[in-house]
Amino acid sequence: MKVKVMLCILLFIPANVKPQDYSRISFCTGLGNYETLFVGMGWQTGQKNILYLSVGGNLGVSKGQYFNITLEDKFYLLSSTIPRFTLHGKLIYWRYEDSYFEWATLGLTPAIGYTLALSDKWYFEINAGTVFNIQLESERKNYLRAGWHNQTDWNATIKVIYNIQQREK
Amino acid sequence: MRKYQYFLSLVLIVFGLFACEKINYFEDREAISPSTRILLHKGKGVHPDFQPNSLEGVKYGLAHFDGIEVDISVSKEGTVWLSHNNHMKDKNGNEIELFSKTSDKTIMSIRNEETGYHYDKLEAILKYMSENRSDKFISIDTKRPQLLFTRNEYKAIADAIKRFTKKFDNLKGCILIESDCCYFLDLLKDTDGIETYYSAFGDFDLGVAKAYQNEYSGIVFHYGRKDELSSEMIELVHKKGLKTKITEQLFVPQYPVLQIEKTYVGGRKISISAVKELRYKGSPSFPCNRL
Repeated sequence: MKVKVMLCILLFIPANVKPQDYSRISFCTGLGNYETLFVGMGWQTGQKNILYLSVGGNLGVSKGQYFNITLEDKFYLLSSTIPRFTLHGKLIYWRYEDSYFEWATLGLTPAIGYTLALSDKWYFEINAGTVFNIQLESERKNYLRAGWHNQTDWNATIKVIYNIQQREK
Repeated sequence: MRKYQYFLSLVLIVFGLFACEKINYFEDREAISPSTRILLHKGKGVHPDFQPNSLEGVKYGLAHFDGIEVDISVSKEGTVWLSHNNHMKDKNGNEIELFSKTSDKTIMSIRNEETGYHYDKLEAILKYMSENRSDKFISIDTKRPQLLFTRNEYKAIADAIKRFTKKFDNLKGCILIESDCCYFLDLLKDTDGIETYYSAFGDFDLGVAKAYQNEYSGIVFHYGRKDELSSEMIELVHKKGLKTKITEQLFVPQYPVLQIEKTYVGGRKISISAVKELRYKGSPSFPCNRL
């Protein structure tokens, strides 16, 4: 548990959230195996840093009902002005409900990614990492089955980003 | 155009991954139906005439029930002693030092002649059982070792228990180890003649998950903390091939060893005769296999 908390802190150290003159806002949408189908917003908090907040759900595609809220810190290894490799730290709060259980879990996710500029305003991003899940609560509905959430799992996300204002060249 | 085809394929692949299960539901294993057994807590229950976790108390428990539960700690030399706490107490009951930092010689020297307060070695308990009560069970509790012991200390305890199991060969199958530390249980789970139980305290699902995934013999469950107990829970555990050790306090006025605070048999009180009946018949309406 201590390791996971430390990991969580480390993931968000690069965020260094400070209001900056060059702050930009973006909208994003995409798919991920934990974020599922999501929409969100991004705030550029530093020259190399963007924070995203998104919500997603499975829209009934898989068996149970799934919902998540994801806070993500994206850190450009070199510069945010050109397509670059990125480091990501995600906190994924997810809830899953089926006919046996209701689960609430927090996933700590370090990931690496690549962001590609499609135009001045449109970006495409892909990232992948590992989810370390911590159970927050669970509610059993009956005694038909026994199970547990995956303690570690993989995470992959594709994201399309639209910047409201162009980034500074 | 080709670029968009690649993109679309990628989207479809990731979308398909929506169906990835986040919850791992466990398959049934060969169901078991163990009989109910009653083990006396700390060797002597709440009997006022005996010291908890002592040879005298253990003798009493073994004489009257299916077995006993004892708590252990480890000395500087790696000797396993009976103790509920990891701190040594002097003959007046004051905490003096960590068990693991105290030598065997010092531990042996602690004895209150008036009260009889002292420490016993686990080996002495097993020797007594082997020679006198080899049909009874002993459950050895490490008391949240991840907070108390280092890995070397776990290892010392596990090595000692393996050695004792080999030495007291007729106790094979009668030695149960309970802990909430998977590292410790993993050291012992493949030892012939030992059963390992994951201490879930009040979280039933956590206990089942840990025991099932790590292939332990069962769970130790303290109902009423987070989850209550029901016969459906026990049936579910048995379907997964696991046993259940339930911590229960019983109190019967005419029999001061037991203390009933609450029962999980439909709320009815259990008399000592009912307890005795359950010991011998393993009634299905009393769904624990060990108490």
